[in-house]
Formats: sequence, structure tokens, C-alpha cells
Amino acid sequence: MDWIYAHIISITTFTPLIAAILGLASVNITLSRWIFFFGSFISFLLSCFIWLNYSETLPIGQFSEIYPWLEHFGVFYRVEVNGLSLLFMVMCTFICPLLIMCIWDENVARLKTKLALILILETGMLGSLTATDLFLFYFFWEATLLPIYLIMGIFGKQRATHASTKLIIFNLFGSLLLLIGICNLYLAHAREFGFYTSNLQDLLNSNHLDLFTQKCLFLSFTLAFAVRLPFWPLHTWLLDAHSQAPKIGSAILSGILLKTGAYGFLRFSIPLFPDAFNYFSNFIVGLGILGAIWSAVAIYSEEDTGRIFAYASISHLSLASAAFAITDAGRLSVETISGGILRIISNGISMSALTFLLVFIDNKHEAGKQNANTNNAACTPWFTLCLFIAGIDLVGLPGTGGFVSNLILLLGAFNISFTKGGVLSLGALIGALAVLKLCKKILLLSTQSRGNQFDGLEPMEKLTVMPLLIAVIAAGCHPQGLLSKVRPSIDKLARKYQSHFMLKNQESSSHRAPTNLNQVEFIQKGGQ
Amino acid sequence: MFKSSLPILILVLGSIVTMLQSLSPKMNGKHAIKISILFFLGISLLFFIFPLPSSSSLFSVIYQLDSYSKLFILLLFVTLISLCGLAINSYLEANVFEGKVASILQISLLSMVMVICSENLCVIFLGMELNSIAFFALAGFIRPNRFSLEGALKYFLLGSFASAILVFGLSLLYACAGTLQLNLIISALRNSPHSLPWVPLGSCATLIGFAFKMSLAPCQLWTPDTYEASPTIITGYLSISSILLTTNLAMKVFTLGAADLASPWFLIFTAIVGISVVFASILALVQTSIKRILAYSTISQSGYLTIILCSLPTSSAHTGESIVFYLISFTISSIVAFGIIMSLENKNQENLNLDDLKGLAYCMPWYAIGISIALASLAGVPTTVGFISKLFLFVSVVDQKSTLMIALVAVCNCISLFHYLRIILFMYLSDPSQKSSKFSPKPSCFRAPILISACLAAILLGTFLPGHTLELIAPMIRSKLSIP
Repeated sequence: MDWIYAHIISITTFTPLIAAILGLASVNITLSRWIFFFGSFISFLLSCFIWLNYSETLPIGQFSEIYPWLEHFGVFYRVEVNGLSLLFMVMCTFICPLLIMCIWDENVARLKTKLALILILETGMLGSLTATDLFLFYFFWEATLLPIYLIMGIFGKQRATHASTKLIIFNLFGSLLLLIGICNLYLAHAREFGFYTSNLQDLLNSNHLDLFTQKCLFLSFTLAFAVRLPFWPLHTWLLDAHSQAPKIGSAILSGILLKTGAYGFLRFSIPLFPDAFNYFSNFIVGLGILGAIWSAVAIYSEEDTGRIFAYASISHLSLASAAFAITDAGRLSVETISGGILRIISNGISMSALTFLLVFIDNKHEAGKQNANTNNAACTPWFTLCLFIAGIDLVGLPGTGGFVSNLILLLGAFNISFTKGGVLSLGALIGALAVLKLCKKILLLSTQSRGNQFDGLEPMEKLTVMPLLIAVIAAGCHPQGLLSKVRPSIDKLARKYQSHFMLKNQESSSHRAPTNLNQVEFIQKGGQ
Repeated sequence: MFKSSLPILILVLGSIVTMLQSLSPKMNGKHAIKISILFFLGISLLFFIFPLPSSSSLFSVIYQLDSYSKLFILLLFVTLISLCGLAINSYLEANVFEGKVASILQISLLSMVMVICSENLCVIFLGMELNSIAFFALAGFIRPNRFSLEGALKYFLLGSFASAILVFGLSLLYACAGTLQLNLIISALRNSPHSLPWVPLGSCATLIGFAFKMSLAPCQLWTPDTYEASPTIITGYLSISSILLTTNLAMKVFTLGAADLASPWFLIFTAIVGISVVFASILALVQTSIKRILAYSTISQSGYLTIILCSLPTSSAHTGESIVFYLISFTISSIVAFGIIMSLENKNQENLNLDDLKGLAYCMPWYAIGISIALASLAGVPTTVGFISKLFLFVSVVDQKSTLMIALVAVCNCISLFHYLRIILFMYLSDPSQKSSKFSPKPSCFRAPILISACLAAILLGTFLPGHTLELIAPMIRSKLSIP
């Protein structure tokens, strides 16, 4: 029992992988399906366990494990959970079993491959969320690329090769930039301190890079995360990916994969390169809002479901990333970051729910071709309910997590600066318009199918989608439950950022010799 | 006196025995040859790894067996033994296990051992020449059709030119330095810079000779044609052995103190490597033959190895370990890749195309997994050993602080990763009209153990064991590089 407790993060991360291998090896299809499901479900239970046992009073990184990996080079297998990773972990492990339930009854010939790839992807994602060693983080980051490429390429639609090529080229380029940034940081540290390490803590504590190096490294890290997020103008791969992917691929992308970008930005870019982040923050806010508005406007010219989906995703996530970058005079706003994280989480859950609805419509399309029952007046109450709840969550109406996230986000933004708050609220408003188009499209699809086969959700399908919507409403009614675990890490992030700038201001003010009293007063005020 | 050279004598004996066996038609091309070649290779390997304690050091001037050389010898022997084991029950079995071919295989191995264990210029040149000649013969001999002969002839002509230029360069260096021992040559060249008009010319000529062997630009054009034309066992053996051999030589030269002498040459190295990797990555995108793709991958891998070698003089002990680890990962991936291609080939499908691989994952899943692991390792996908070597490559490149090099390596790595993954995707796209596989490899009891252990090694060395492997390699490298 102690052993399990001591290694709980590794067990959570690798259970899906082991389930994937076991499921692929077993010959009986039903047995493999159950193995896959139980693998992801056990992972979910374990992450709930971590969630419940994560203490808000102890230091930030808990449940840590350290093993030597490439000891000579100072690279260790270091995993630990902090508030940020906790929330994303639980979301990821929550969505995965539901994904498996969603495609339970599909085309049997290649179902095993699809499910196995989903589970391998989940392992990569969980690993990258918990790794604190930079090379280990890169290991898991790259490990997610091959499964998503294969899912997109094998199970996609007609132009799947084109879409998967675009996906892989964009993401590979981002990953290689990330690798170059990590190597640079690793070697710079070694040159300055004489020993090799790629532990995040060591690199954070010994951070005396000059501004130019910081800017270059910040750009290389952030471009990698921006490609994954995706951030305008690096978003074009997601359009093709969502339009050509199998529907479940959309769920994986929006629910799981894109969140690693946001996580990486918060965990690595901001703490490691605070000066560069300060320099680029307005630029990021501007680009994010531009992306949000652009996507929301572009969505009205699209007719393809996948592309509409993608634009809605991009709009929301760009806004959340812009929210992360709201900073003023060396102060990070805890509210905007919490709001942004909550927005990302609720966006992921709702988008996955919408994807599941699309999968159910598709299943009915393919399943019954000759259905004599043409009762056009058949109601689809559950379907409409699910669509409604997911829609209002994305728009941000009260009672859902989206509302709370918008509230906190805009509150924090207005606290920092009126203009930024105003621009963000404009972005949120226009983003809501994008969601309307998305919901309209899904309703249209269901109505078109209703004439033939679609007459509501099966019980199994209800079981699949209801947990997501309950989570959405729970986030709206009791957001404190979600945010309380995250809050200490965000506080620490903001504190460190602020103290970094206070130190810098003090140093620069001690160098300056004031010539008159007015100047002294000015310096003292600036140091606050 | 003979105790120390026992393993070499066993190899010589083996080549004579198999040559004699080729005279009898009852033995030729049958089990007898297989047994004798594997037997002699095995015994020789044992005596290399566990040498008899020798009393006299008659040959020690030209032949030294330290743990560093043993590592390279082990890799070479493992390559040849695995490839021979995989060739059993392949479609070219009778041709490969002909007495003459077996004998030339052992002679080529012998020549490589000579190069690895010696620091005498004459012996090195002798070994390289013997190696080249053996491969000229092997490339065209086994499968005597026009296509094969064309590839072998290209290799022979270009190789002869390269050997001639190599011997010209080496003789110039000998003339300037007055000695045949590598370390003495380098110290002589460092101490007396006034014989300089001949030294750059000699070094340049030597570099051209080695660049040919290592498939670097501008001498890399023979590689795709020869690799495609040779039978797959020879392609695999040639690819792995030329990289191992030339890297060993380059490390010897760099570690014997040629650092400061070599620094003006780094611009040339950068240019050579840049052209090689760009050439290999871009041209590999339009290929359809699997062996040509692997040839282009060998060119880019040797380019990347040269980059890591370039940081050897100026950087720490870690570079030596990185290079050896890179070689180990390349060996394992190539054995798996070439081994599976060997198993899939048959009389009707001599040169595998990408189209042949379509749908392999559903007809023959284990083979598809093997190829995926090999290609993923060459590409540098995580959980394979190739990923760790990619990490080392990037640490090395970034350490050299040349922005152009970093950009080139990143772009080329991206392109080559993409086209490897495209091949893997191809295998998983199934052709609905194809009901059963067109490959029917003959069952062989050697194939599964060799391929499974190589695949397991590729994955284990990428996940759990890299640290342990590096710890094993480190003392060997440190003693060679004389770093405390």
C-alpha cells in the first residue's frame, strides 16, 4: 500500500499504457474493450485520490518521485503534482473513460488500434503534466505526437493525409523549437554553475540570464506552446485537423491535447523567463484578443462542422491565453489566471460533450439506413438538454463554469487595467457569438438526421455525456472546489513574479544617485 | 606472441575453411557453411571479449585491444552475426551462404578489426582498403543481375577513386610527419608548422577519402544507388559498418590531440554536414523504395554524427558517451529495419516499395510493429533509443552555438521525422481489396529471437536503461580520452 502511495503518479500515468498493450495483445474484442476501459477508469480513480489527498497547506509540489534516468547528464525522472497539473490531470482522466464509452460499438476491425492509441496519448499527456524535469517533459510532449498523427491519418476522412501532414509539421516544428530552448537553458546553466541539471527547480533558482537570451528562449518555449494551444496565427493546422479528423479525434484534441499548451505556458514560460514575459505580455494579449475576434468572425463564413468547431475552440482558448498574459508593472493577476484556467477546463469539457453529441448523430446515420418510422415530431429532449447546457457553458451564462470563469477573468483584468479589461470583455462577447453558430450547426445536423433515424439518445449515450454536463454545472455552482487546489500554485507564481520585479527595481534604484528630493520620492514610489 | 592475435587468426582460419568448403558441392550453400561461419564468428568474438593473457607484445605497436576497441568490435560482430542469422531461411539464403561469400564476410570483419585496434597509419589504410575491396565484391556478387552489378560498379569506380585520393593524402601526411603512428604524426604536425603547404593538401585528400566512406557530401551520391542495388544483408552490413568504422577513426584522430589543428576545418565540416543533411532529408521525401529511404537516412545519420564529433575537442567527456550511444542506437535500429526487410523480400518482391507495405499492420502485425520501432528509433520518437540520441544530438548542436547549424539540424530533423512517420502511417492504412498478405516469409527459428531482442533493446534502452548503458560506456571512453 505504501508502495502504491509512493508511486501513485507513475501508476496513474502508466496504467493507460499498460492497458493499451494488454488490450492490443488480447484477441477477444470484448475483453480488450473492457481492458481499455478499466485502464482509463483506474487512472481516473487514482487521479481523484490524488485530488482528494492534495493538501493546500503543504508545499506546492506533492507526491514527488525521483529516479535517475540519464544521471551523467543530470537528467532525472522527476514527477510531482502541483495545483495546476492536478486540475488538468483530473480533467484528462475524467474525459478518457467517457471517450472509450463513446466509441464502444464502432467498426470492429480497427477499434483496438484506435482505443490503444487514445490510451497511449493519455499516458503522454499525464506524463507531460506531471514532469518537472525539462527533458522528461519534452519526452512526454513528443510522445503525444505519434498517436495523434496515427489517429488522424488512419481514421480520418477523405483529406486525412493532408490534415495529418499539417498537424505533424506544425507540431514538430514547435517541439523542436522547445527542444532547442531546453538545450540552451540546460547548457547556459551548466556554463554558469559548472554542473549539468535539467530540473525545473534548479533552473528556476539560478535564473540570471540577460534580457536578450531570455527573450530568445521565451520565444522558443512559447512558440511551441502557442502551436499546441493554438494561438493565432499558428492555428491553421487545427482547422484542417478538426474538419478531417474522426469525431473522436476532435474530442481528444479539444479535450486533452490542446490543454498541454496552456499548462506549459503557465508552468515553464512565465516562471523561467519573467523579464521576457513582461516584455512580450502586451503583444500576447493583443494577439490573443485578435485571434479570439478573428475566429469568431471567420466562423460565420464556414459550413463545415469541423472547421466551425475549430474556430470556436481557437476563439475561447486564445482569450484564455490572453488572460494569462495580463500583467502590469510586475504584477500578475491571480484572478485572471484562475479565470483563464477555469475557462480552459470548462471549454474542454463542453467541447468534448458537443463532440460526443456529434458522434451520436453520426452513429445513427450509419446505423439504421432503413427506418420506416418517420415520426418527424419525435422530440429529442435529452439531446436538446445536453446541447443547451454545453452551449450556455461556452457562452458563459450563469450556473455553469463558463460564467464563473468569465466573471473572475474580467474582474481580474479590470483590476489590473481598464483598457485591458475592456478589450478582454469585447473578446469574450464576440467569442460568445461564435458559440451560437456552433450550436446552430449541431442543431441543424440533428434536425437533418431526425427525418431518418435520429430520435434521441440511447441510454448508453446519455450515460456517456451526462457526467460531463454534471461537471460543467458543478463547476458553475461550486467553483471554489475546483479553484481551491489550484490557488496556492497561482499565488506562488504571482508572488515569485512580483518579488523578481521588486528585486530588480530595488537594485536599479540603489544604483541611481538621486539629485533632488523629487527624484527620491519618485524612485520610492516606483519600487512599490 | 600468438595468444594476443588468436581471435584474428581464428577469423583467418574461418575464411579459409569456408573458402575450402565452397569447393565441395555437397557443402556449398547448405547448412555446413552456416554452421562454420557462425561458429568461427562466435569463437572469435569470445576471444576478443575475453582475451587470453598474453606474454609478449610483439604486435603491440600496431595492434592494441583496449575496452574502447572491444566495444566497437562487439557492435560489429553483433551486426554480422544478427544479419547472418536473419539471412537463414530468407530467399537469398543459398547465395549468401556460399563459401566464397562467407569467406569474404569474415575477411571484411577482419579488416575492420585491424582498423579499430590499430593506430598505425599503414595498418589503418590496409584495413580500409581490404574493407572497401571486400564490399565491392559483396555488393555485386550475391545476386548477379544487371541492377545489382550496376550498383556495385558505381560503388567500385567511385570507391577506387576515393581510395586513391585517400592514399595520396595519407602519404603526404606521412611525408610531412616522418612517422606512421597517429599520435606521433599529430604531435609532429603541431610542432613543426612550416612543412605546411603539403599538410592542408594531405588533410583535404584524407578528408575526401573518409567522407566517401562515411557518405558525407560531396561524396554521398553512391549511397542510394548502391544500397538499393545490393542484397539487403549487404546493405545493412555496409551501412552499419561504415558508420562504425569511420566514427572510430574520427574519434581516434580527434582525441589524440588534433583539436587545435582541426579548428580551421570546422567551417568545412559545417558546410559538408549541412549539405549532407539537407540533401538527405529533402530527397528522402520523394523516394518510394524502402532501401533508398534507409540509404538517405544513413546519410543524414552520419551527418548528425559528424556534428557531435565536431564538438568532441572543445567539449566535455559527455560528448564521447553521446557518440557511442548514438552508434549503439543506430546499430540496433538498422539491424531491426534491415532484418525485417530481409524477411519480407522474396523472389517476386525484390525491392520493397512503399506500396508493398500498405496494410502490413493488419496482415502481419508483428512485422509492422518491428518496422515501426525501427523507423521511430531512426526518427527519434520518444520511448525508443533514437530519442535519447536525438537529445544528445541537439545538446551538442546547441553547444556549438552556431545558429545556422541549429536551424539546419532542426529543419532537417523535422522533415526526416515527418517522412518516417509517413511510412509508419502507410503501414496502418489498409487496402480494402487486399485480403491476405503478399509476403510469405519462410519460418525460421533465428528470426524471432534476433528481431525481438533487438526491438526490446531499442525500447528498453530508450526508457529504463539509458543511464545504466551510459554508466557502462563511460569508463571506456574516459580511459580513451584520458579524462580523469
